[in-house]
Amino acid sequence: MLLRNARVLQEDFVVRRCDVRIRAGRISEIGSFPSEKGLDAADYFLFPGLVESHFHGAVGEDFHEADQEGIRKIAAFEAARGITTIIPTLASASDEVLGYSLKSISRAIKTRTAASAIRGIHLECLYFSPQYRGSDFAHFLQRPSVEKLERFIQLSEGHIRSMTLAPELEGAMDVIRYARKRGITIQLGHTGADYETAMKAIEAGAMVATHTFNAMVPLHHRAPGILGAVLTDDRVTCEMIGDLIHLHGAVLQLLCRVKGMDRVSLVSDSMYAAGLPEGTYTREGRTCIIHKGAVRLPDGTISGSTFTLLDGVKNLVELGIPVEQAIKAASLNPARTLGLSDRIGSISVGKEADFFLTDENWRIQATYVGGECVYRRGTV
Amino acid sequence: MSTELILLHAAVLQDDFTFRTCDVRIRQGKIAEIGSFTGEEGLNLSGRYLLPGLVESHFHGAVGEDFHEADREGIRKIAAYEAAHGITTIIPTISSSRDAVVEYSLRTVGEAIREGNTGGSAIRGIHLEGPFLSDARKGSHLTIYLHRPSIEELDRLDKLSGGNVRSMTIAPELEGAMDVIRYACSKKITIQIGHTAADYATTIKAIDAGATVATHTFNGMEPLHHRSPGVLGAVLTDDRVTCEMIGDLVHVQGPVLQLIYRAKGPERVSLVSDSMYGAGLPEGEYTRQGRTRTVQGGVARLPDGTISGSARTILDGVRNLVGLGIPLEQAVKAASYNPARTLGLAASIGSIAVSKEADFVIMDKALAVQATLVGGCFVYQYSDTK
Repeated sequence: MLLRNARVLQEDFVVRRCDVRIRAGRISEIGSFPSEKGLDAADYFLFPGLVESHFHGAVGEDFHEADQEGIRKIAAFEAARGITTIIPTLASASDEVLGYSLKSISRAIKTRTAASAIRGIHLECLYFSPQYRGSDFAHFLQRPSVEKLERFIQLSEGHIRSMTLAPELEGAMDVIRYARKRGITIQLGHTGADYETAMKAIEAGAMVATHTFNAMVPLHHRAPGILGAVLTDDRVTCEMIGDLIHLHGAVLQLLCRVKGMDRVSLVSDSMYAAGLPEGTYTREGRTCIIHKGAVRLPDGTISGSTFTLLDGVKNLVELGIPVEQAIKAASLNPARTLGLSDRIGSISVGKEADFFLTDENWRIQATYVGGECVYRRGTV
Repeated sequence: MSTELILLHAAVLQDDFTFRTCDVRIRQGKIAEIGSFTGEEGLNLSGRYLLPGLVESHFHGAVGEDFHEADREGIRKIAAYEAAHGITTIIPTISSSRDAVVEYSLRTVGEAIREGNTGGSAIRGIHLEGPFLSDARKGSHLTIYLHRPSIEELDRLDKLSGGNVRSMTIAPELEGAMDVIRYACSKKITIQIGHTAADYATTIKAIDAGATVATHTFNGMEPLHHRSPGVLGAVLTDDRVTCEMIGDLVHVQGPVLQLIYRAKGPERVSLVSDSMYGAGLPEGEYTRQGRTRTVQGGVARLPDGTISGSARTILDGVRNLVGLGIPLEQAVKAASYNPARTLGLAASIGSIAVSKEADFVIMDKALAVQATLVGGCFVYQYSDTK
């Protein structure tokens, strides 16, 4: 397949008009092939597919409960928004629920029937600080244990890609080192860690801050805490929820300034109500109120978002971040922290043909995963 | 003084804040020429740094002298102490206090400015840290001395000083503050936002009205919250604002200094000491103007633990930034050119450029001060016998 004359966001994250050839699901050539026939994409930008590394569900489906059909529904919803890779994220739940969802997701990974490619699982469920649990239930709190993690890796058939934990918990450093050995990206989150503990975790191999500022001890100028560490250490990439609810726009700008556009990753942290009408929903025994895009428990605690990564990209652009960099924060950066950037995350020869075509007003024309069209405007 | 002096072979931190080995000709107190003057006689500074003199824009005193009480001799003592730390320009900072104290200190410092030669650092203006401050974020200021913003009061204070008020810290959320900000800007007084509980929107309004500096960023401000970013969210992300940083590693810890530096970049940070009279004195307990302070570990505290200034200089701040991994060139810029610029003085001081004042500090490679020059005259020379 040859896509002709699109404005392509190339590997160096500069837009240039060129042709892109796809062969056997991969990008085989980028250049100018004027004499060849192809799909005219002159009206569109060709952007690398977005990589959603932290979200819990959408369109009424939650990864805790979703069956194969539910997972396909979520993936189709994401694909329609330019998201080509998804990392289902499991919040805390009973072992039974987690066991079910690990199996269910790993089956979906194997059968490859989802529109967006599922390229791993993010565990945001085991080792969090009771004080910074956010909307997670305190009774699911566990002591970090290498054995337990290994059991989860087995249940997922090796598909756990990333894991959020609070490094101040006893045993956390051992789990970090073990997870690194198993190729799992360690994210620091739901934590009250002080600066020194956070630095120790980074030394041990942690490289991502989970929804930076949310569910963390606040920054104080004489007790900088985990934020002081993750904001100033270049080994760490900071997740940012780009919905302008979890974080004020000025704080998103601050994150981009402090970390630079290579060390921020957009996430949505969306939950099942993304794509549903606003209102009150009850699932797994809990009530959530969706109002003006925000998800809150009855006590007011924020509990995920109803936005997608694409909304985050648009919001960053509104805040004055160049679109090239906003896309990078939602594609190459999460791909890199997940250890997937040799295969996905940018428009580069040899990588998967994961991309989307959009006009200037963010009307997405089509989304491709592995060279196959998984979404086309006007179809569902 | 001799009308010409040549400094030879130093590693000169030039106007673009990169080091080059070259020679500098000083004539009539100003930098006349920068280049290579082979064959001419001068002072050989081979193996030394020649840096722009440091600019201290926020401090209250040193060596037992406080600008609130200091007489001319006291001011000279402070200026000599600062000069010995590489500081060539000082902006005495007057806090909120009793009317009589504020009036006395504005007159005395104003006269010292008119007289000119202090024998040490040059005084190039006064910083009013008050009295238009927020009670909620007053730090060690006393509530009874805080006032509602008033153009008349600012005018009165400026007149007392002989028109020498260069900068003023104000809490923009106070009623009438925006008018004072606009008025001060029209009089070329630099407006600094500080001792404030302002929210984000109010801070942006103050910046739109002309405020250009955040006073001791993070101190005397609401903490940063991710859903209500407040004054910090505004000053850390708006390029019109330069952020003061107290570089003593106590008021603000190292990682937070790095955070400010990353957020603002090397052009938009200014080192200040916020030193009080205890700088240069032995540590211990002191009582002045009816208030007791304990100076320990380079910082002064009131009996209730409230931090009340430092006992360091901006030279310590420069060294601390370097210790945090910030390049020396940028650390010096944060203590010279950047404050000179926010004070509106960059045309005459703040960097080593032809036609600017010959204000320098000569340091060895370990950042020990060897000599300080103000207007081409030596105001400090290190001596082993001291």
